[in-house]
Amino acid sequence: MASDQPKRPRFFDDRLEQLDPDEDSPKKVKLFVSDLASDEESPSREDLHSDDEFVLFQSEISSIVTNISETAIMRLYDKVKGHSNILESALNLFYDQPETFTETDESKRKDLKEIRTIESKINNLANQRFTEKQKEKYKYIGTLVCDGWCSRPRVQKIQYGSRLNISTPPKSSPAKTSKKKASASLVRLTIPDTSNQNYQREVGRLPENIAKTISPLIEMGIGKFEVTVIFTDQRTIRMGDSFLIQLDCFIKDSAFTSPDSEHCLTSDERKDVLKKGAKELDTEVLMRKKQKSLFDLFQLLGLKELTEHNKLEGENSEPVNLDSGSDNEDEKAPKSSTADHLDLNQLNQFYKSAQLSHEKVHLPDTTPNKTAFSLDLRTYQKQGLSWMLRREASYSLIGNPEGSQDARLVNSFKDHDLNKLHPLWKAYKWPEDRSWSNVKLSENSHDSSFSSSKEFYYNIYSGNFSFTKPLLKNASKGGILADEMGLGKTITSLSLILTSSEDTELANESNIPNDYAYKTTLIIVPMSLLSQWEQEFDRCNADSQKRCFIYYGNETLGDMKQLLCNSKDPPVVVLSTYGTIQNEWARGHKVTDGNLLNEGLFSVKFFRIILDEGHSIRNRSTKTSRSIFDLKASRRWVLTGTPIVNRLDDLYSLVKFLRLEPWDNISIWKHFITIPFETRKNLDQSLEVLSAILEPIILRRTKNQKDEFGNPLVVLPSKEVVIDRLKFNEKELTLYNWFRYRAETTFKESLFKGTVLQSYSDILTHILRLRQICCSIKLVGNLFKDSFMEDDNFTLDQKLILTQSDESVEVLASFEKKMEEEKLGPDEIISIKEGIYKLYPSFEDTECAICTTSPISIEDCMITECKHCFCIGCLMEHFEFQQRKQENEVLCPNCRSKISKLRLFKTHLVEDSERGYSVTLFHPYGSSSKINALLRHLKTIHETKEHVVVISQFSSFLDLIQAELSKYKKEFKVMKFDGQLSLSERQVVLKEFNDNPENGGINVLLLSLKAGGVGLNLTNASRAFMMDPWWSPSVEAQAIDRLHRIGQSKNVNVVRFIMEGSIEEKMLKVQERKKQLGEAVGDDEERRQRRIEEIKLLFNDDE
Amino acid sequence: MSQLPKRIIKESQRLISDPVPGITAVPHEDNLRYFQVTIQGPKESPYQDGLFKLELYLPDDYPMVAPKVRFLTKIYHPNIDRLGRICLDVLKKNWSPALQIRTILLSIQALLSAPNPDDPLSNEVAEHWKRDEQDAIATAKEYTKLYATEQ
Repeated sequence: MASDQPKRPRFFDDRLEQLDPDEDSPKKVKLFVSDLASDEESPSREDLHSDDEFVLFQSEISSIVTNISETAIMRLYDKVKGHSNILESALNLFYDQPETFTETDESKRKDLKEIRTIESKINNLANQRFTEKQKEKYKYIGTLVCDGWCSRPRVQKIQYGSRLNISTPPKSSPAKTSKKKASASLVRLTIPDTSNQNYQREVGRLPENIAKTISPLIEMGIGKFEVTVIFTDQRTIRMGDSFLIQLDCFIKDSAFTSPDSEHCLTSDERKDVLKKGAKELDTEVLMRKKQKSLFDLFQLLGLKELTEHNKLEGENSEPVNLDSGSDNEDEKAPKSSTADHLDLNQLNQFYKSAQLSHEKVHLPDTTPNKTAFSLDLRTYQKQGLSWMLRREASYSLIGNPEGSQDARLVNSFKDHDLNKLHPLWKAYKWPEDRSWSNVKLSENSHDSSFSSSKEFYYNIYSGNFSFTKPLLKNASKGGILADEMGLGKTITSLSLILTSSEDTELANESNIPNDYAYKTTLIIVPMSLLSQWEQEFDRCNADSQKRCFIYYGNETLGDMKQLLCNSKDPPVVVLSTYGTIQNEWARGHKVTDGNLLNEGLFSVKFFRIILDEGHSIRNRSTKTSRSIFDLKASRRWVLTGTPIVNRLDDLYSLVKFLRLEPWDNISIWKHFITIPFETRKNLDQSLEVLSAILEPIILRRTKNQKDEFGNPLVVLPSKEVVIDRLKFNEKELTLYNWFRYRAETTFKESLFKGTVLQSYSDILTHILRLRQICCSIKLVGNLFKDSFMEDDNFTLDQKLILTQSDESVEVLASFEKKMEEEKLGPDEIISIKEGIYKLYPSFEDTECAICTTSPISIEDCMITECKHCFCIGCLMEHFEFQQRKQENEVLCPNCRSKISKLRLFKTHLVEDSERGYSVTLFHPYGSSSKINALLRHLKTIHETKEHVVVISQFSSFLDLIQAELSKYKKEFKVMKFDGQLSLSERQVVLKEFNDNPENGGINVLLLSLKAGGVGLNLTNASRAFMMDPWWSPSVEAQAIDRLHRIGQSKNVNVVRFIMEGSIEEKMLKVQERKKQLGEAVGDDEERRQRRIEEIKLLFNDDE
Repeated sequence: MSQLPKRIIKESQRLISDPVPGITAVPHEDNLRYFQVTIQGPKESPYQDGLFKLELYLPDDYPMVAPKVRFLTKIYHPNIDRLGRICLDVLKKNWSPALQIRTILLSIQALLSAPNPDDPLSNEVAEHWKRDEQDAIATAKEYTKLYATEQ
């Protein structure tokens, strides 16, 4: 083997080809100076003066090539200076073309043996230097066991424990590093040749995923890797065979820097870069590459970040788990393909993490001083107050004045907060040194001096390391109070304001800046909540000195400095609206060209700002958001029940408002949150980072959360939901069956053809039609034709289905015909009417024999052919019962003569006639079964005087109900709340609903299911009627929760109307199914499949 | 238990404030739909001087359906069986929601005055009545003395 060496084919030596400018020599020799060593040397050389460099070069080369002349050295130096490793290059040059550098005779040419000895000298020198460096410069961080795969056939067995060397192909020049090349990482494993220790033979390569991770680290000189063969099973290995290797990983000492010298792009720098048009700075590219590789390496090594709670466990157990190393990134990648929206499960997971961490921390109660705050807080609100005070670093105010046991807890908070790790840094425990050289060879060559410190720190953004703990400086004061709707965010934050109303840090200082309103909190609320906040403030405030100032409408602009900063007793609270702020900001920009006004809210710095319904600024580029960002304050709070409305970036606005460093820098935010999330590569990572960011600054409690004693936070009165199953009347049933037949035919046809998905929307429209009939047949047909035609949500085909009333009229015609025979003739009608008028000069003496109401109200009265009076509801119920008993004839309860629905008379109030009433023939199938049932229920409720909410998803159905109920003006005051109302109209309706009517009647609110919007509080009502079912049970539950929330004093009764034997009953089944499966799982395809199954369920007659 | 309809409350009040002669009906404390009823045997009937206990229950659908009434005291009557069940048209087919507890109890009282062996519930008693009315009346009197008079 040794004899081949001079003629060794060139392709073995591609590394040297690139180093050598004249590459024609066949006798090129590969040197055992690894890349790492050369990397080590180059920086030191660069520092040297060129003269010094020459002297060094001269001494080095003459120690190797004994009889080289000075001129030869000079010539060599000229050729190679500037090379990264001049000694190596020079030697190559020298031995490739010795004649060029030796003036004397051939005898001076060295034979190969001599060359070998020289080479070994170089190697020894290099190795020596190398090991020295390694001893002092590398820290062990972990061991990886992986496959190496053979790239060169080999006859000899690789021995157990053989040390392999590792190298990457050098980059020739930056120009050549095309994208293609850069992505293909290659790490070679080489072994010293048996006959010549200095010659490196390639034996194999590292697997691609590991190579990708570690090659940049080798190239950048951050990491070092030692490879030991620990298993091969064949004697000879062939191309593609694999052998097991142990890869010990080390990090270069110099990679550990002080956290202060950290290079981190400021937003200004970033802006500059963007202006110049460059996408990324080179340093940033490098930084990212480094960070990515290190992150991957940590993943591979299973290095786990030390967090607060695993810190304690980590003391005893080994945090490095070698088995869990491999790349399960693909498994983690989500299947979902929905844009950048969070799905519900992710959102839940996120909220859960926001809750959990706080459950662990036991929060003390803080009871506000009675002289400042006049209400009693609930326990969780007291804890909320403690948390808010902590976030503002007002530790002395936490806890009850007399409770000293809290003091230690509070101190621990203080310690904890002041010692907080910078969020971009993560702590890791040093692993026990398990490297081959340490364990098997007991060389212990690695520096273990640092093992006294248990942790090291790693910056996940820059990829830098540190031995010392980087602390979070300038922590922002404030946070996000994200308690669920109805838990009293308003009260909690008012208790904070009244407990800590001014900046006490400044109290002793003489020179308070003259634009600092250090005694004032600015609260920004949606316009509709302005008066509510004012009322709440007055209710809470116990100190008559403290007042609240409304900054809105005509009161705006004015010398705020005078009012807030220079006055003796400025208002404690300034209340304003988002609109006001935005107007003032826009005006400021116009008038003073970017400089904000000297007047108004922007002219001062507030002690504290609180944003109510803080998700109003979720879009960071709107004027409103930008104006809010520009407000100045020492402490900032966001109140919102929904910190994330639909995308992660919603949170960025809040973070930016809170000035939460470093996350308020959009490039850092995008880097860690948005991009990993959107690209779906590191989804878990991004959510993890997100919860790490938010965990300290967000507090969220939910209604069903339990306190430390296992009691729910909020105890609400009980809630009962019952289903009232109703029967169609004959007319409804006729129409329903006809439409059902059509819908089923369409569905079965498309199922047969396999085109369910294509005709999916048509089928849905058919189903919609059926659901409408369940509510009222008046929803069908021409009556609403116009409204459908204008609605762009429907396709033309769907509109046709929806308006096919001509046919349905035909269907009804046969039904009508049957009715016709039973009807009274015109003469009969007249004579009966006259009889009634004669019999009943007034209605004062009437009594309904069925319910014993007396007198029967004229609006409510029915008179039979035999001229007996009944309440309409009672009589209809009588009909229903008799028909259920399959009686052919229904008899008058009073006189037992035959009666018929078609032969009844209805009385009407006529104010200005002598009689005071009139009678007309009754149309039994005029109003829907559901409305009749509703009326029946309302009548009983009328006695208990409870207010009522009637909920439907069909606004047009609510209109019908409204028309029907408005006949009973004395009993019911009817209001309608749907999506068409403007914000101010909504307020008016809600106010009206919450006042009790003067005449002692009951309020009925007709609520559209989808319009039940933000902060809707309907606790004045305790009865609800769900007129129709919705697909998702949670939507219905949410609507019911408008009544069943804090403030509700009565038991809540809910009646759900379901038409018997109709699609509504099947919908209940679908709801049940959804409850079991969960609603938000799966991708589009799965969801679609599930929809089809749901539709099948709807048309399934088997049960 | 759903809320008590106004009609039931009204009827109960009137039964107490304006009782029917010879009849008492008192709602039970725990269940206002359950009444403890007594009917005095009508004069010139085999049940004279007897005090008959009955129970009356108003189902949820009352007054759309009739109340359920049953004799608790043993009685010898062709339209009342051994379990105290009563065969009376207004309690069954001829029920009308315009009828009330009061009217039903009056009808039962009337039934005691005028047994109707042609529409019997208890065949044995009815046959006895048809076969030998005097003897049947004697048995009825005996029963009344035995079970419906306090001694």
